[in-house]
Amino acid sequence: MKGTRTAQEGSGYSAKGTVSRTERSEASQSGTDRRGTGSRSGTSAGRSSTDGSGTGADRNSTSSGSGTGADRTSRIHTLSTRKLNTRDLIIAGAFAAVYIVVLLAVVTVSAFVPILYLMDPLFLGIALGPIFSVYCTKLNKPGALLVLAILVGLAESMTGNWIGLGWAILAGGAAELLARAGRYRSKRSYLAAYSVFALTNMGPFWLLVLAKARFLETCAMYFGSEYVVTIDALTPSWIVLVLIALALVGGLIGGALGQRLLSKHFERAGVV
Amino acid sequence: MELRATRERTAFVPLDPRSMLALLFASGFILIKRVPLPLEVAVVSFLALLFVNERRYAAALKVVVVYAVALAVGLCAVPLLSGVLAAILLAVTTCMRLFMPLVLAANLLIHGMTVSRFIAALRRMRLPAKLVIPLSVMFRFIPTVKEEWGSIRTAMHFRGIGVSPVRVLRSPLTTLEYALVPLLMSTATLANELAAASLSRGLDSKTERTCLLEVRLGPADYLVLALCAAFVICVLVG
Repeated sequence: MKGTRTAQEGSGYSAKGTVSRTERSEASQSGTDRRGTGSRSGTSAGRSSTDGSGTGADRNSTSSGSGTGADRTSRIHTLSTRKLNTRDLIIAGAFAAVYIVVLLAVVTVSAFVPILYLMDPLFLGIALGPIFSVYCTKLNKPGALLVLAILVGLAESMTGNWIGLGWAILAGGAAELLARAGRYRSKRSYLAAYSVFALTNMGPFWLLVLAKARFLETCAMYFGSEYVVTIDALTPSWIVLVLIALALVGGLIGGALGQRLLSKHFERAGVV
Repeated sequence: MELRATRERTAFVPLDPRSMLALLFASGFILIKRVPLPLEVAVVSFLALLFVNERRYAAALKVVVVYAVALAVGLCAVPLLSGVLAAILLAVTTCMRLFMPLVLAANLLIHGMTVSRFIAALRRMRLPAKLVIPLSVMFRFIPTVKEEWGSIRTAMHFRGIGVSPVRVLRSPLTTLEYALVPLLMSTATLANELAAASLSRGLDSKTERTCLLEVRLGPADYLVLALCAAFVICVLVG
């Protein structure tokens, strides 16, 4: 069975990082990134039997549709068998913890100055980009981004703001679709996906649009009335568009930074 | 690290992870609306009592002292001062007071939990495993991340590249890189280890999981849940 897996197709990109070194050694594979010669039916048969239980086995099934006779059925089969297994879910939880700790740290530091607080979508997008990049390189599977989005949304809604959860699921779903468009392998589509995913960072700010009075009251509670006057002056109703733009730009910068760090550190060290 | 995270604290009245979760989400509501001060004090004292329940006396004492100081400074000292100093002081003390319930509830949940107990409890709620496992691991991992960050900071200070406000302002991206890269490296390793440990204990087995610990809502849990519900309704209506 392992023999069939070595014959799988590797696209040019997978050499960059989707199939990691550690995973490869777990599955005791040799020489993966070769243009495929083996039979597709053989690989998919080998995979379907390892689904779910294997540690590194089914993660290696990054067969590409750009190969020789890209028959549709086997590609669909591949996508559906690349489910998140328990190991992936544990890794997702661990990275979500890092994500949320960094998120909280940035917000805590910046919240004291109104203008910095409003810039948070940008800062968060940049600071969280590397985490996101490592996360989706480790878990380049359908559903991984949605899981992260739900966890982030839950963490945001712990402050009593449940709009954040719905918004995070929306953004995570959109990011998931973008990643899917690149078949979970393309760096570019992951960059676009992160830019959209970074919209989760402006989730709490929806209160500014939907319930500005309540938002200001909350701010008054924390920081006193002077802060509120400043925030009020800084936030006309179109500010939400600015915040969305900030989040998207922050996502682009952070995503690019993340991918640079990925190739500079993580791929070289064989961590991802 | 393993020892602390998996040790069972023998509480006077053990609470179910579900009650802890309810406490966490309910205490967040204090942030979105102004609640009367007596209610706020009541919430904090209730949470402090739960620390006593967990036999964490020192932590409970610390909670009470910090809260009392924040309250005293916010109510008494700030009106005497004026200008920027007063604004800053008010912001800091109010933040401390209002975030306290959330931090306390999170602390109770995180320190009282074991992954398997948490998973067993959440599975009782018929939540999908795809959500339960990452959520449990996330809560379990937050103290680990903080611990790792402490070690990384120490290591950075040894090399003279410690994270300071000046450094963050002068070279933000470099500082970010220095901080995040080791953190993510160790997270990746630790996550793999945790996954291996959990899988070897059969977390991904297809059969229904059983649990040695009794995972059931007791009278105390219903009391906590009722208080949480009452509090949330109180905040939303009042």
